[in-house]
Amino acid sequence: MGPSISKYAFAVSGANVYEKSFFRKHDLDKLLAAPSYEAAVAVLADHGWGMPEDTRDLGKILDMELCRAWGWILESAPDPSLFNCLILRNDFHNLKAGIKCLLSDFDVDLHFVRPGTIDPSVMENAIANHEFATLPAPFSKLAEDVYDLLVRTGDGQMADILIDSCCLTEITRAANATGIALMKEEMEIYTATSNIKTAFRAIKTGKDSAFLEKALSSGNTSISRDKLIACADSEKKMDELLTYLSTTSYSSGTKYLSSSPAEFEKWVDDKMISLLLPYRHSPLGPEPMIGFYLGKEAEIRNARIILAAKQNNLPLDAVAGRIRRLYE
Amino acid sequence: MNWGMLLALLGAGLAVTMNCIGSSRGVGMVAEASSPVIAEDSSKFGKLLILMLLPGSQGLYGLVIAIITLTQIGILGGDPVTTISRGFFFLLACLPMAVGGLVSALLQARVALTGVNLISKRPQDSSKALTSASLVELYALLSFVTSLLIVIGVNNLPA
Repeated sequence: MGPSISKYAFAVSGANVYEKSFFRKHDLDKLLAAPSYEAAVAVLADHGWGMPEDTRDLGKILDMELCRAWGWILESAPDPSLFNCLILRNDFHNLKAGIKCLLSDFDVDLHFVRPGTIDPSVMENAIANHEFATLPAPFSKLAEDVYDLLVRTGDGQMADILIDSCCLTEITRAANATGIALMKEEMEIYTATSNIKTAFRAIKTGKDSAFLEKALSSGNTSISRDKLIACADSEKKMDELLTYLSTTSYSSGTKYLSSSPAEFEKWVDDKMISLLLPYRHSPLGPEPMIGFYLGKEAEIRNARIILAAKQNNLPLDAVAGRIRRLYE
Repeated sequence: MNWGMLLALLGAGLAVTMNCIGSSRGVGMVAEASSPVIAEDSSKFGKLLILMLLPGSQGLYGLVIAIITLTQIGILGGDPVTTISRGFFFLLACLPMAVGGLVSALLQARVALTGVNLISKRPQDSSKALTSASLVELYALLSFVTSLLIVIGVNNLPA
């Protein structure tokens, strides 16, 4: 049971003020029209985004902006831990990056993403000193298992699978524990569609049901894990999978899976944003805060797509179709 | 023990405390929500102040009902209440204000909160925000008038 909704008056009002600086359609058009990466960065700076010393580091620009939004939740929400499941995946990403960088001598700090519930320096120290027990559950056990696996077998794919499935299971558990219906619904879409993508890729690359058994997370209510696994054992695996998916609430999106996985991801992101819109003008409660953070994430995702395209001189047409729905 | 007087005082107490609880929570919530907006643009303070004050009126109505009750039951004037039935009438007379005021203050605060968001995003629509929040005031007034009429009329009832 979270705090009473009346305690969100300050947090929600502040989020509403913050949202006035969110990108609108015309801001995105301006960003798209920028002639170069440097010009696009200048548009972001004009819009009030903080800039690191090295503006060529796109990841850092975006991380800074997302951390600023997360900072507002930490500062203002009556119980910020209720929103942790929105950033849990970053912790799992950092765990994965930390272990892999340790074993391959890469600079781990370059690969950490922020914000996270575990301080990156705590994560880095725990991994570097093999003191996995200093990490909270379920990270401690998972880190130990993954580290052992990589040292013994060097199987990077299996390590990824272990971390990703644990991540999705943990997100589902954490979302259910909040008792916030919107949080449960949003995280259900995120985890269920992640499982769908995993099943689709696994079947496309000829993996068997034993692989899916390890790769798929548990706890989803909108799709059946057992049915996804069973598809890998059937004769016409892909047909079986697509037929099953057509009976789920994701049928209108899964039609994109075969033609363009990127289109499916856009459909998922847009669906998640559309669920938030009815709460956009709510004056109280945790829902507008969820909308605020996920809305900021959508904005940052759009900025990443556009700036990455500018960095790599990709044509605008290819980018415009991938722009996500804005929280407006 | 004069149970009649005790019941009448309970009514007066409920009228003022329940309304003050509603008003203080309401004003507190709207003031909390207003602070980020004022921090961003202090020129909006005047418009927001009216929204902050609106849920506070119920506390005053409750106080008026309590004072009028006290003037009728022998504390600040009038004849002392000597029977349980008369004391119970005063308690009942105060309830419309106590309950109506509490509920309307909290609901008015919610409308005022949406008004704060509206003023934050579209200051030109501030009159709409103020009008919407003022509509809830009508129901606090109806509770006030009902309690007032009964409190004044109780002494005309047969004991």
